[in-house]
Amino acid sequence: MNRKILIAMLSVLIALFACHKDNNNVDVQGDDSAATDDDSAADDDTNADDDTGIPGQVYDMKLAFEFKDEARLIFTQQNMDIPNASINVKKGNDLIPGGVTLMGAGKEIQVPEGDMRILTIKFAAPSTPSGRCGNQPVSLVAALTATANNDLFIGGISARCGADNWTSRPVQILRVNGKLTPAKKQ
Amino acid sequence: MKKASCALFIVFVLAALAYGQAPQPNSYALSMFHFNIQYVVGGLEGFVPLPFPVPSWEITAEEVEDMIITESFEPVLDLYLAHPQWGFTIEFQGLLLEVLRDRHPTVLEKLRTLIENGQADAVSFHYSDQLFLAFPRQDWDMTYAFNKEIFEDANIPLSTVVFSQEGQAGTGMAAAMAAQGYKTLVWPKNLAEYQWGDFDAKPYYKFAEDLNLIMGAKGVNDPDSGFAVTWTFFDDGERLASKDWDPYFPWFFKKNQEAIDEYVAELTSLENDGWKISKVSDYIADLKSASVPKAELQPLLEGTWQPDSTDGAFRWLGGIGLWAKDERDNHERTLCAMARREVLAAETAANAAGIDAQPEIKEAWRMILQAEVTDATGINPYIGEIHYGITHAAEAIRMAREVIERAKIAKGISQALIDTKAGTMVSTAGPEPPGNKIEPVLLLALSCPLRTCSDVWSVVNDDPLIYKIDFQFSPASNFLGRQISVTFPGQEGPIVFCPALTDDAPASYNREDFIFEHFYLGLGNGMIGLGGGYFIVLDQSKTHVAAMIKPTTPDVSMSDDTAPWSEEINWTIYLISGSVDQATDLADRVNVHPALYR
Repeated sequence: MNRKILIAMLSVLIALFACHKDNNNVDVQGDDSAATDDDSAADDDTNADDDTGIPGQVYDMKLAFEFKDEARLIFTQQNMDIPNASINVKKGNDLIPGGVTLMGAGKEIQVPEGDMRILTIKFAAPSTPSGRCGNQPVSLVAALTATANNDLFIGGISARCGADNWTSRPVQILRVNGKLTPAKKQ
Repeated sequence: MKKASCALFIVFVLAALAYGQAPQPNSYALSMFHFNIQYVVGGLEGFVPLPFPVPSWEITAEEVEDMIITESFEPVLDLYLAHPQWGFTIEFQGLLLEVLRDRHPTVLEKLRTLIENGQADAVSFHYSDQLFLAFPRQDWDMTYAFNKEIFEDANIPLSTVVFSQEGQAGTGMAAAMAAQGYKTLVWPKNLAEYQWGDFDAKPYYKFAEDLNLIMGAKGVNDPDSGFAVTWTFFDDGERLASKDWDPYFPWFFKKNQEAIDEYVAELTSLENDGWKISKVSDYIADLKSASVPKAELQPLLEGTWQPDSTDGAFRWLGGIGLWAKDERDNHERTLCAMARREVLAAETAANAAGIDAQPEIKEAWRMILQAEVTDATGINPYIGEIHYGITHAAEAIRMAREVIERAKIAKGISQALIDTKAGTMVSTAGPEPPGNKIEPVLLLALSCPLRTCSDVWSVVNDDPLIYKIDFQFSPASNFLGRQISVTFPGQEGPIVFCPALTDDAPASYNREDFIFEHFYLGLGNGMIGLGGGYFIVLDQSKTHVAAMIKPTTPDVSMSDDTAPWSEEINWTIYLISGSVDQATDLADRVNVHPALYR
């Protein structure tokens, strides 16, 4: 009984909060969050070089990282390739350091029969001796999915101990989500 | 003599009065402790609907798992270790055993001791607490392989009794059970009563050729055999020692000695009344020793243990829960379907190219089994659980695609057709052109409030005639546009589909054998009959929701009440005019053993 009451209270709380704000997490995701962020609504840059000089479409995604932390993912896309990407997580954890910009590269995978796009990007993080990988560096690979032509990407960053380790059992898959947003012109 | 007769009569009357409470001597007090280490899959981070972290509540996945073990699992083991004459049945997934092995070796030792003492049945049918009724048999074969490995590694004998996450049960499980040495399925009584109405349970039933089935949580009082059963526990095991709190509330989910003492008192009382506090396998063995005949089983459809309150498979395949804003059942389940196809294709490509990719293919399968976890789409999944499923499926696809790319390079192929049934990878110019568009053959009832929607038909095969129907749902104007559905008109006839875990064995059921108003099927291979020689096959990479059937109409409906309202949604369903075997073959090619262009 207590549990049911608590669940009911929680649901009311959620509903109230949902009415107040589009979602309960970092304001970047959710099917109710149809409006884009104030500072990322620009669509004035559809095919520009980023500051690395690499040609292609530049995207600047604000991601919810494990729901209550934030990350910023910036990447350049040339057709299906992503030759240049960076990610910076605000607080981070023992697998991905906070406030540090990590560089990487990847590609977009398409699953045509499922009408699904998946952004995959690999990063390398330094070791955190007190963390789960100890003195080993951490291999991070993002796999973010979106259906059809929708711009909300949901997925994870799989963290594995050791350099260039992309296939063993992850220590954790960190959950991220955010809208694909073209970068503003500098 | 008269005095003796009178005394005998009194004894007889007393015995008869007592019979209703505890018939002697074959009275069994059974239990089923269903434990789930993925109770809050992925942990509680993000659970509290406040814009800032609440660290004492939003604990990590490992912390939740440890809490389940120490506050609820271990206390149950301790209870029985303290009463070595009592038996019990405990069910859990292989992932729980991994947690015991890696972080709680003393608890693992207690479990082993209880099994060695003959007190416990260690029941496990899946490595992850997955929705196995809604996926092809191969996924269960993989989950069994993972489970077998961890049980052997942990040196824990696997019971021959079967019970499953959410009480999933289906007659199609018989072949899988028989293949791996399982003997007895515990069928949840609510799933039977939902289909039959109230009934008097028999001691046990004949299940397939040589298997047994008993009605879980349903008491037995069988005067013919003299066997009686009462169930002392049939629920989430986490709730016994915690006085009914669950792990979503770590502040309250604590071992409660009062609750444990109450249960011990109940069992002690039953024992004093002559009940055997027994595990299920001992009960079955005693039935066989006594040569009790098995009852015949009436027709049963597959489902879950609380169809009244959950609406069965729909709860995990389109039904909406408390956290409506974040739920996206079809996205999650279709992604699982894509992942399993991609990994099958990777395995095929690796074999065809002669490259060694077994380690990553195995890990990708583990990801799929985790992605198929029930809690990603039901009962009331919160955003962390929903995204747990999506992340694992996405990573499985990423890993599999890298194997495919390696295989293509090794074979010098730029564009490949990978046939997972034939086991081949060949060079191709690309996908075949889409079929010719035609006018709809059937008038479908499409529903898409606050959206626009359409069905576009094309012919993709002439003999048998196969139509591909692409459904397009535009984004809705507001959150009231979450529900999308389609109803196919049927023609009089039986319910025809392939029961879960029997992708190639269609079965037919008479509608009049059931009393329910409606019933949802998960459709493991995606196929269901419409009558009149028509069948539909859901392309599970686009449409993976439950199919609703009714005894009173041959129509079949599919609905996703969790469709993200601001997003465009596309479904694909095939309609075939042909035999049931041809429909089963189509389901095999679409969902079970597809051919993919990569």
